[in-house]
Amino acid sequence: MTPHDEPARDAWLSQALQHAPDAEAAPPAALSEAILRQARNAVTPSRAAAPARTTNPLLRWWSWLARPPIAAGFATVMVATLVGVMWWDKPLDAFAPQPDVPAAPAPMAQDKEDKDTVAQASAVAAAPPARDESKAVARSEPEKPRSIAPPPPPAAQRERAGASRASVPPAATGELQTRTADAAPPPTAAAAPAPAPAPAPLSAPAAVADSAAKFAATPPAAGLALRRQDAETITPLIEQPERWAWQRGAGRQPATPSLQRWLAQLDRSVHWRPASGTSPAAADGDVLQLWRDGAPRATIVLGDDAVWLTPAGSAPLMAPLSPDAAAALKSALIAATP
Amino acid sequence: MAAYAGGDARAFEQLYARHQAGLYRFVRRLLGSALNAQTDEVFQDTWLRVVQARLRWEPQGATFRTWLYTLAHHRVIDMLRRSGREVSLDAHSDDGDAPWEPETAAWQQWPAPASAASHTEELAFWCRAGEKLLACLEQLPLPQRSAFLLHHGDGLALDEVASALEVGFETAKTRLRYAMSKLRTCMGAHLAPLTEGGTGR
Repeated sequence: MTPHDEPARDAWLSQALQHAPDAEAAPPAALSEAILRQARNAVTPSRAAAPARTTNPLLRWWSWLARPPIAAGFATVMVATLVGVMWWDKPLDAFAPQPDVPAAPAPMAQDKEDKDTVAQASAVAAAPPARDESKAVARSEPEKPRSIAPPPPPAAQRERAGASRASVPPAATGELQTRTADAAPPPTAAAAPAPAPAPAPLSAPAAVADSAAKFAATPPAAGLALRRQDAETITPLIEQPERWAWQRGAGRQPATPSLQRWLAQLDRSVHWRPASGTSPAAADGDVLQLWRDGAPRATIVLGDDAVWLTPAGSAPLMAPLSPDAAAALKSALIAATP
Repeated sequence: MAAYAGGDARAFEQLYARHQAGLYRFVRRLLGSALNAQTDEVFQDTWLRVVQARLRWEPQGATFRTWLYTLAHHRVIDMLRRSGREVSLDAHSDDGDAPWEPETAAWQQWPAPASAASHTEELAFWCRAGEKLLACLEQLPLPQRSAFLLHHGDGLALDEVASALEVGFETAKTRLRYAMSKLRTCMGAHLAPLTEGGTGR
């Protein structure tokens, strides 16, 4: 045994192995040449490609992009982008449930006129700048008038055509026509003025936003259209406060920046929907009347669980509120309209 | 090998020239006569594995030769399994607890190994012994066969044998002892009559 406790080689077996018939066996020359050629080819391309990888950033980027995982990810992003671009022009409500907009019960004498007004408001509410939304509303428009209103008389058609060209909702026809005469740009949701952030004393945005999220189940298309209608009513007050006045209880007072902020807060926080009836009776302190150029334009009623907006000459709208949000809005209104 | 991994093709040629003959014989003897035709395939596959793994090769204490024989051993096992042969990696599956000890009587009739090249008769004897040894090798289990070939045929030390076969030192030693014992018995049984009659000894 060796010092490593290794069995010694058997001399006889080793001798026999050295004289075995295959002792001189060797790989065929062709096989050796093939192996050596493959070995040379394996190192030759890598040496040639090494300078290219290090010197040319474009080739380096291209080779990086050509790697299967990177290429697959890039292709996925490209496909997603393409689908997104193709989907961009589609209406958002294409797959949403059709909004069930109940017609406001009104006296029979005003039924035809009111329904026509609502239809026109829905059609024109999607104002010109929002091209896609106007398409969506225009697409859904034929259904509502067909089911609600009889064909309007020629005079009404002419009036509606004129209103459509001016992109003015009937509820605010007068004021917006005036605005058009003043060469002011047409109102849009995006162009709606963003007033200064609500001051600290109001402290209602959080509660109102919570309420808005809680009651955000309003059908999107109807909510969008009605919100635009609401914006058409409130925005002029924010833009031209000198022409507006408010009344809560006794005494009419000119609009103030505090009231502007409160209206902007209300405008941002609620989702209007058609009210099933008139606004409920409420204490004078909870009713805010808005006047423009001496004429009443809208009435806002703050309830314990909802807020009602009744534009002059239009069907009333309402937006549900949580009790906390309603209380916050009331306190903010009191602070804004002392 | 490090030079070849760095792109020096001539380093591979030197490695190939140094190890190709021993590796070829090792593969051929390990496969046995039944799979002799696959020797070239296994041999080439082993070297191609070397080429492919050149960037991953790290010495870690093992020599290139040890690593080369490890690759070849794996390729042989794959080939044996593909050919439908049962490959037992347990060298002691059909052995007893202790190695079989050969009888020494037959060996006393053999010529001394050192005088093999001096006489034609003795050279013929060793050639026949070599033939018989190959036949006896094929009767050994693969682990014992590979241990014996690496130790006696290619001159690896026992720790290198253990490293090449990826087993412990004691396992390699046991396998080698079993292999030598069986080969001595096999060779003695076959060559004793020949030595008495054919060679005049």
